[in-house]
Amino acid sequence: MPDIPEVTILLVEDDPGHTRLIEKNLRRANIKNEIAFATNGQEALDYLFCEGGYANNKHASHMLVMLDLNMPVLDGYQVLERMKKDERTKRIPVVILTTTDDPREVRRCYELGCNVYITKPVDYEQFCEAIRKLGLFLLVATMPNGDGG
Amino acid sequence: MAQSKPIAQGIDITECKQEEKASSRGKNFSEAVMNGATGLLFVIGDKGNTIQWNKNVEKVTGYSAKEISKMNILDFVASEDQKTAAEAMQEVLTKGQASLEIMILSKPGKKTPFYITGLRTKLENTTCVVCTGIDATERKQAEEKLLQSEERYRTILETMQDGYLEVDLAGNFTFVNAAEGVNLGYSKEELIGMNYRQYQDETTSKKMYQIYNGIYKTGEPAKVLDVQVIRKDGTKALNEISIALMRDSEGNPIGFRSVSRDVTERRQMEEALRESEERFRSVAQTAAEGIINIDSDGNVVFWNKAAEIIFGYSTDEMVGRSLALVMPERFREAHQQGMRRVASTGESRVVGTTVDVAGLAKDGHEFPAELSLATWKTVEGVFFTGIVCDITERKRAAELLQRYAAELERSNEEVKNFAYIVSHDLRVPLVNLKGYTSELRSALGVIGSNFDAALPHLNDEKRSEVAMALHEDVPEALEFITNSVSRMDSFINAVLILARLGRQDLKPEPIDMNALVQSTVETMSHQLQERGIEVIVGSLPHVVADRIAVEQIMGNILSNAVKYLDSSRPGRIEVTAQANGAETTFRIRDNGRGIAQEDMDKVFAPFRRAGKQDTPGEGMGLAYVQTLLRRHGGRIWCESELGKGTTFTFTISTRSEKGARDA
Repeated sequence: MPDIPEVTILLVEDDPGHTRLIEKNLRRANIKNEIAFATNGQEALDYLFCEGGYANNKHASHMLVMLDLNMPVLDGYQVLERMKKDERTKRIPVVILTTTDDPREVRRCYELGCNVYITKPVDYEQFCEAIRKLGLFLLVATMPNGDGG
Repeated sequence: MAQSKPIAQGIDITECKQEEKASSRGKNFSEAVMNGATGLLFVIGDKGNTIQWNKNVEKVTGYSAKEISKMNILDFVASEDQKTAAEAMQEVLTKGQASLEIMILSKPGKKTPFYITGLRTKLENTTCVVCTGIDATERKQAEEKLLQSEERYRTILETMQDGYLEVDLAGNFTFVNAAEGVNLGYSKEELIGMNYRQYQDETTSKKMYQIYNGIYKTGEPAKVLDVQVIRKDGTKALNEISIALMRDSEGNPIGFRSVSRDVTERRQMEEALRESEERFRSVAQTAAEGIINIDSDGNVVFWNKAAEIIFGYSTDEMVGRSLALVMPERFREAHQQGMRRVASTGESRVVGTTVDVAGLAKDGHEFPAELSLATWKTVEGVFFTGIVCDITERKRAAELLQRYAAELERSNEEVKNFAYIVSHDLRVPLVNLKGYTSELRSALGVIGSNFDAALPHLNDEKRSEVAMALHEDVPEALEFITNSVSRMDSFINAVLILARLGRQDLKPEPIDMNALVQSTVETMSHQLQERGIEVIVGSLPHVVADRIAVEQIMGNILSNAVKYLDSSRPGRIEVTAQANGAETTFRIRDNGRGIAQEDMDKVFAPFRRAGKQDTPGEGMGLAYVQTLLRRHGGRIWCESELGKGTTFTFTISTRSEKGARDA
C-alpha cells in the first residue's frame, strides 16, 4: 500500500455534523490520509481545479472525493458531472455518500460515473460500519494517478 | 188526323163510273186530305187487311199501290215489333183506340221508327181501323241526345271529388252525389230527405240559414269558406261550399244547389305549417344562440333576439342588409367567395359543420364565435341558417381550466417531490442525532470508568448527585432521544415508501389472480396452520396490472385480515371476485374482530392504526394499498361490524392506462 499515504481525501458535505462523524469514523478505521473539506459543490470544484479561494494552491497529485448529493450552490450530481467531463479530474475516484437510497438516484450517479455509492444509515452502528468498510476499501484500492497522467 | 172521318172507300179511283161523279167529288176530297197528311195514313179491315192508304205509305215503305193492296198491316212491321203490333191491333178492336211506337220495315229492308195511332170506326157497316203514323226518327234522336247528355252530367257528378247537392227551399236534400256522401260519411240514400241542419252545429246552421236567405233574396251565388260539418261518425270536417239558387222553368226559386269541398286536411296542413312556423319563431326567439337566416345574396332575412344581443344590431337594422356587416373586414372577401361558390356549385365547405369564426359587434369589438351552418331550398331560392354562439366566455373558461389543470398537475408534482425531498432532508439531522447520541454515550462510558478515581474528591452529597446524573439521568435522556429518533426514522421511511409508490413506474401485465392469491396464502401457511385459520379462495379472474403492486395489495389486505382475527373463534377468510366489464371487483371477507364505526375513517390514513394494538406495524399498509389501487384506476373501501368481521372491497380497472397516466 505504498500509494495510500499520498492520497488526499476531499470530503464534500454541507452538514458539519456529518462531516465530523465521517472524519471521526475514518480516523477510527485507521485512515491516516490528509482530509480536505468542502461545504458545497462549488467549493469542491474550486478546490479540485485550484480556482476561486484555492487559486495558486497546489494540492496532492492523488485525490479521492467523498461527495454528498443534496448541497447548496452546486449539488453532488453537478460536481460529479463536471468532474467526469473534465480531462483533469475524470480519473479521480468518487464515492457518493448520501442519505438518499432511491434506486433511480443510485442509477443516475453510476451513469454519471461515480465509483461507489454508499447510503448513510441513520443507525449509528451501521453508519460506523459503513465508513469503516469504506476505509478498508480505501486501504486496499489502488488509486490512479490524479494529475491528469 | 185521327179525327179525320169519314174516309171514302175504294182503292181503284181510275175505275170510277160517270154516274158516281158526285160521290167522286167527295172521293177526290178525301183523297186530297189523305195525301195532304204529312204522316202515314191507313184504313185497314178488322183483320189488318189494307183498304185504303195515302201516298206517303208508298213513299215510306217502297211498295207499289198494287203490292200494298194485297198486304196486311203487320207486313209493314219489323219482326221485333210484330207481337206488340198484333196486341195493339186487338186493343184497338176491343177498346176502340191504341197507340204504339214501332219500327216500320220498308221493302228494301230499311227500318224507320213511327208513332202509330189506331182508331176503330165503321165504314158501311163494316168495322175498320184508321191508322195514322208519324215519323219518330228525329224525336228519337233528340231523346237519345238528351239521354247521353244527362248521362255525361251524371258521370261528372258521380266521379268528381267535390260534393254536389241540391236542397229544396226548406233545406232538405233532394239530390246528392257520391262524393258528398263520402264527405259527410252518410250513404246517398241516408242523405236524401235529410236537412242540412242535421250535420251542422247550431252556430253554423244559423250562419248558413242567413247565407241561404241572402242567396234567395238576391239571386246571387255565394262561396262560403270553412263551414264546419259534423260527419255521421261525429268527427268534424271543414267544407268550402259554393251555393247557387235553383229555379224552375218559370224562374221561381225552388231550392239551392251547391258544390262542397272537404278542406279539413288542407286546413290541418296549413295549421301545421303555421304552428311549425310559430314554433320555429318561438324557439328561434328564445334560443340563447344567435339564429340568422340569409338569402343566397348573403342578405339577412331573419335575425333573432339572441343575435341582437350578441351583435348589438336590432332586427330592423339587420334584415335586408348584408351579413358581411357583422364580420371583421379581413373575413369579408372569403365570405363573399364562399357565397359565390355555393351559388354556382351548390357545394360548401362549412354547411353542416361547426366552425370557429370571428364576429364584429356594432360597437366595433371583435369576438370569437362558433358558427353552425345549414342550408335549405324553397321556391324562392336557397337560404342559409347560421347558429352563432359568442364563445368569448367559453374560451376564457377553457383557458382558465387549462391553467388550473396545469397548476394542479404542477402542485401535485410538487407535493410528490416535497414528500420525497423532505423525507431525505429529514434524515440528515437524524444521522447527527443518532451519531452524536452514540458519541455521547461512549463519552459517558469514558467518564463513568474514570468516575471512581474522582470519588474521594467529592463529599457524599455531591457524590450521589453525580452518580445519579452519570448512571441514571444522562443514560435515560439518551435512551429517550435514541428511541424518538428511531421512531422518526421509521415514519420517514414510511413516508418515503408512500412517495415512491406514487412515483414508481407500473408495468401492467396479465395476472392470474388465482395463482397470485394462492402463493400469497402459502407465504402465510405456517401462521395459518398454527392458528387454525381457513382461507377460502373463490374462482378469480385474470387482471391486467402491475404484478408487484397487486402482490403488495393482496399481501397487505390478507395479512391484515390474519392479524386482526378474533382469537375466540376459528378464523375464516374468504377471497372472491367478480369481473364486470371495465373493472374487476375483489372482496376479502374475514370473521375477525371488526372495526368500530368511529375508526372507519382512519383505516386508510397513514400512520393510523385502529382498535386494540397487540400486533406490530406502522399503520401504513392500507395507505400503501390505497395509493397502489389509485395508481391502477381502482378504489378500495371497507364494511365492518365490530365483533363480527370486516370486508375489504377493491376494484381494479381491467385496463390500466388510467393508472399509468396518473403516475
